[in-house]
Amino acid sequence: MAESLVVAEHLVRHFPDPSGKDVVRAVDDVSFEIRPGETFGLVGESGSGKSTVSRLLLGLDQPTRGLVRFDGIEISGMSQRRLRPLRRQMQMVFQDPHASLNRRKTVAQIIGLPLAVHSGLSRSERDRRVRQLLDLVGLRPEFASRYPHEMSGGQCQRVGIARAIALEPRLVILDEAVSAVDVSVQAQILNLLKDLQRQLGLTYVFVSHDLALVRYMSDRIGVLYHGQLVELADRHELFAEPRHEYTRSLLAAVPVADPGRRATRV
Amino acid sequence: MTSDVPASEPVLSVRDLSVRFPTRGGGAITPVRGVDLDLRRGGRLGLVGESGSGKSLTALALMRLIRPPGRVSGRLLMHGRNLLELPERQMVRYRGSRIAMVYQNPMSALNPVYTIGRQIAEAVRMAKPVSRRQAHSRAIELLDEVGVPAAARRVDSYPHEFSGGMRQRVVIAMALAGEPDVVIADEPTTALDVTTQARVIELLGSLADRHGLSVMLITHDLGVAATFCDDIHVMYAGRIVERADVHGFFGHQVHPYAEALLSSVCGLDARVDEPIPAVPGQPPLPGNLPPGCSFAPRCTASTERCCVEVPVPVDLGGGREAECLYATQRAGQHAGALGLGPAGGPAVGQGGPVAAPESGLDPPETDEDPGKPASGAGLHASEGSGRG
Amino acid sequence: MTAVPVPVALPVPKRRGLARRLLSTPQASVAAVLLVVVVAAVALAPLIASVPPDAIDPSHAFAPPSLAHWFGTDELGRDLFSRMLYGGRYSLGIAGCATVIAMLLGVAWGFVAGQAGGWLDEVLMRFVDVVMAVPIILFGLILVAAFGASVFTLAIIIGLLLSPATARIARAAVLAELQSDYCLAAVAAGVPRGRLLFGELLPNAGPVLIARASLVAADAVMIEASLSFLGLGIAAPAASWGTLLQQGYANIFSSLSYVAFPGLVIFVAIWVLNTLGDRLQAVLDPRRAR
Repeated sequence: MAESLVVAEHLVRHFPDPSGKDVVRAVDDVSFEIRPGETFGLVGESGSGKSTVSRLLLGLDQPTRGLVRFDGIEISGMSQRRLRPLRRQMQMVFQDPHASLNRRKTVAQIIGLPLAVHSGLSRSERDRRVRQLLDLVGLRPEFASRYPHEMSGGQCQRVGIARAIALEPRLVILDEAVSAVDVSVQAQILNLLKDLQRQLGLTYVFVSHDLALVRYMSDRIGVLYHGQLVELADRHELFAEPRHEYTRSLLAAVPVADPGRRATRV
Repeated sequence: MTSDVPASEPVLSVRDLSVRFPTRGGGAITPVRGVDLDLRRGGRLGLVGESGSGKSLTALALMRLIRPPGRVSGRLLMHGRNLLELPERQMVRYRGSRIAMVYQNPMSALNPVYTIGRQIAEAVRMAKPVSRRQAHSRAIELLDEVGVPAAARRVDSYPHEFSGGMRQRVVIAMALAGEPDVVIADEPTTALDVTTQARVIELLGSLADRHGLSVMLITHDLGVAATFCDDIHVMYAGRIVERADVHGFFGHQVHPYAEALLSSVCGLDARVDEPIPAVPGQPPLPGNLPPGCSFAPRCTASTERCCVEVPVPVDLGGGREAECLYATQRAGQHAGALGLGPAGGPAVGQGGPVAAPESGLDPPETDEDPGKPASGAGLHASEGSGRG
Repeated sequence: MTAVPVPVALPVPKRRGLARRLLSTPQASVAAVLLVVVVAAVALAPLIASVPPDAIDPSHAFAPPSLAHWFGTDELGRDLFSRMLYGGRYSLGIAGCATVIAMLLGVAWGFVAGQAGGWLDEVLMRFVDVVMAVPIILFGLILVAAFGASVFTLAIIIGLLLSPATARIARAAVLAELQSDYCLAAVAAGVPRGRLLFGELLPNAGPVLIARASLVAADAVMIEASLSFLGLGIAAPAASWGTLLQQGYANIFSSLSYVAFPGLVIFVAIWVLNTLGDRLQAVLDPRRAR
C-alpha cells in the first residue's frame, strides 16, 4: 500500500470560550490518515469540528496539540511563509460560492491568483491557463471577464474549483463544497468533482453534514461528533453496519425522498 | 376560476397569484407568474422548488408581506374573503390569528433584546384581548407544547441563549400563539442540523394533527417534503409545473423538470460508481425567461414546439396536473408501462381548479406503497454497490 | 409573529449607479452641489475675484456687503469675497493634503496592526488609544508651536493627528475581511502578506475608506480653522478661512459681516463633507452605517 499523503496525529484544537473562562474543545484528539488518490469523507453536524479539522489539515490554523504531516513533512507550527512552497500541493474549495471569491476581481484574476503567486508564467500564459481551467470546469471562456456577482452560485463554485486545481495540487479539501448550491446544480458539481479526480489523480477530503453526499463521494468516512472522531470506516462498512450510536441516529435522520418509508420513520 | 367543490372546500385558495417588481429600465420582472393552489383543511401541502423558483415570494405574498415597489395581484381567498382586498389594519389581525408563518432563519424572526416569553406573549395579545399575565402563562404553555424543556424557567431567556433547534421551536410557538388555521413554513429546517431537522419536522407534524392546522411547507428538500406532506406542488420559474399527491408524485413524475429534479437528488441509495443524472444548465432568471416553456432549454425531451409554445396546466385526473405540452403522453406512457388504466382525461387547458380529488383526500400514512418503483429516478434502486 | 420584519430579497438586485444612489436624499444633493460650487470657486479664484485679495482701500474699511463687495470689506478695506476665495485655497489645500496623509498613514497603520495581530497589534493600537485620548487641538497647538505654521507643516501635523482614528477603522475593516472565505482562499493559495493586504483586501475595504476620507476632510477643515482662530494659522498677509474668522471676530463691533461670512463658509464646508461622508458610508457600506 502507498504511503499516506496526510497524517493527522492526536489533533487537538481549543478555542477560548466567549466568556473567557473555559475553553471550547473544537477538535479533541482526532487521528486519521489519508491515502493518495482516495476521497476521505468527514461527516458531522455544526459544531462537530469538521471545519476546524480542514483548516488544521491545510495549516491555516495551528493545533493546540498534535500534528499534521503532509507527504511526510510536519506542517503544524510552520509559518505561512515556510508553508508557501507546499501551498501549491494542497488547496481548498469553500462552502459559500460567492463569499469565497473576491467580489472586486474578475474570474480571470481570481483563478490567476495562485498561478501568479506560484508559477513563473507570463500574463499571456496565465490567461491561456485560465481559459484551459475554465474549460475543465465546464465554463465558457467569456466567463473570464465576469465578476462574481454576475454569476450564479453553481458558476461561482466552478470558479472556486478551477482556482483550487489551477496549480495541479495533490490534495483538495472540499469543505461543504456543494451545500450552498441548488439540488439540480449540486449533481453537476459532484459529477465534475469526480471527473476531475479521475483526470488529475486528486486526493479529496470531502467535508459535509450530508451523509448521502459523503457516501456518494467518499471511499473512507470519519464521523465527527463534538470534536471527536467517533467512527472511522470504509464507506461500505459504515453504511452496512454503523457501529456508533451517533452514526446510527445521523443515518436515521436523513430525510428520504420516499413517502412510503415515512410511517416507520416519523 | 369557478368556486371549489364544497366537499373539500379549501381553507386557503390562491388564484392567479403574481408578484411583480419594477426594474430600473421602466420594465418589470415577475418572479411569481400566476400561481393557483388550494390548501385543504388539515392538509399538508409541500411547495418544492429551487432558489429563484419563486416559492418564498409566494409565501410572502400569501402573508401580504411583499413590500413596495413589489406588487401582488390575483386572489387569496380565505373564509370567502380576498385577503388582497383587506385593508392593512384588518390584515394585521388576520396574520397570526388566521394565517401564520414560520421563517427559515429563527434568529431574524426573533428580537434579540426581548425575552422569548415577552415575544410570544405579544403575539398572543395581538390575536386575543387577554391580560399580560394570561398572555405570559399562555406563552409558557406554548413553549411546553413545542417541546422546550423547563418552559416556565426558560420563558425569561433571550433568543441567543437557545440553540438553533430550540429557537425554531420558539418561532413555531409564536406562530401558534394566535391559534391560526393556516401555517406557512418557509424552509423551517434548512438552517438546522440533520438530526435537529428530523425532530422539528416531527414536531410540526404532531402539532398540525393536534390543532387541525393546515400547513404549507416550502422547501427545496424533496426528502423533507416526502416525509411531511400529503400533496406536492413543484415550482419552476414562478409557475407551479406539477402537482400531485405525495405517493403519486414520488411514484412517477410527469413534468420533465420534476423528474429531472428528483433523479438529480444524491440520496443514500445513489449508485456511487455512476454519475448522478444532473439537470443541465442553470435555472432561468425571472427577468430573462426563455420563450415557450421555461424549462425547455434544460429539458432533455424538449422539441421545437416547446421552444415557442407556452404550456398550460393539463389535468391528468386524480388531482394530478402538469404544465407540459406533452403531459398527457408522458402520463400515458407511464400508465401503459405500469399496466394501469388510461391515465388522465383530456387536457383541460386553462388553469382551472383541480378536479375533486378522490384518492388524495385521506392523508396517506400507511405503510402501503401505492407508487410503483420510480422509473428512471433510481431512488428505490438497491443499495449502491460499495466499491470492492 | 405578525410584526416580524421580513427582508424581501429582490430577485435580481440591480446595482443602480453609485452617483444616483449617493444623491438620493435631498441633503446629499444639496451638499454635492455646494461642494462643487465651493471647490470650483476656490479653484477659479483668479477668474472670479474682481479685486485682488490684498488691494488695500482704507477709505472703504468695514464696508457692509454691496454689489461691489459681496461680502463687504475688512479693516484695511480689502475685499472680503476675494480674501475668502484665496483663503479657501489655503484651507482646502491644507485639509486636502492632511486628508491624504491621514488616510495613507492610517490605512497602513491599521492594516499592519490588524493583519499582524499579537503584540504588534497590541502596541500599535495602544498607541492609537494614547494619541486619541488627548484632544486633537491641544496636540495641534503644541506641534504648531514647536514646528511653526506653514502650509506644509500644518498639513503634516493635521494629517498625523487624524491618522489614529483612521487606523482604528482600517484595522476593523481588515479584521472583518480577514474572516471572509476569499481571504482564507488567498492565504491557502500562498499569497504573500503584502499582496494579500493591498492587492486582495484593499479593494474590498475601499468603500469604507472612501467614506472615511470624506469625514476626515471635514475634521481637517475644522482643525485648520480652529488652529488659525487660536492664532496658530498660516502667517499674514496670507489668510485662511480660520484666520479671517479670527480677524472678523476681533472686529466684531465694527462689522458683523466680517465675522459672519467666514463662519458661514467654514460651517458649510464641514457640513457638506460630513453629509457626503455619511451618505457615502450608507451607500457603500450599509452594515456600518446602521
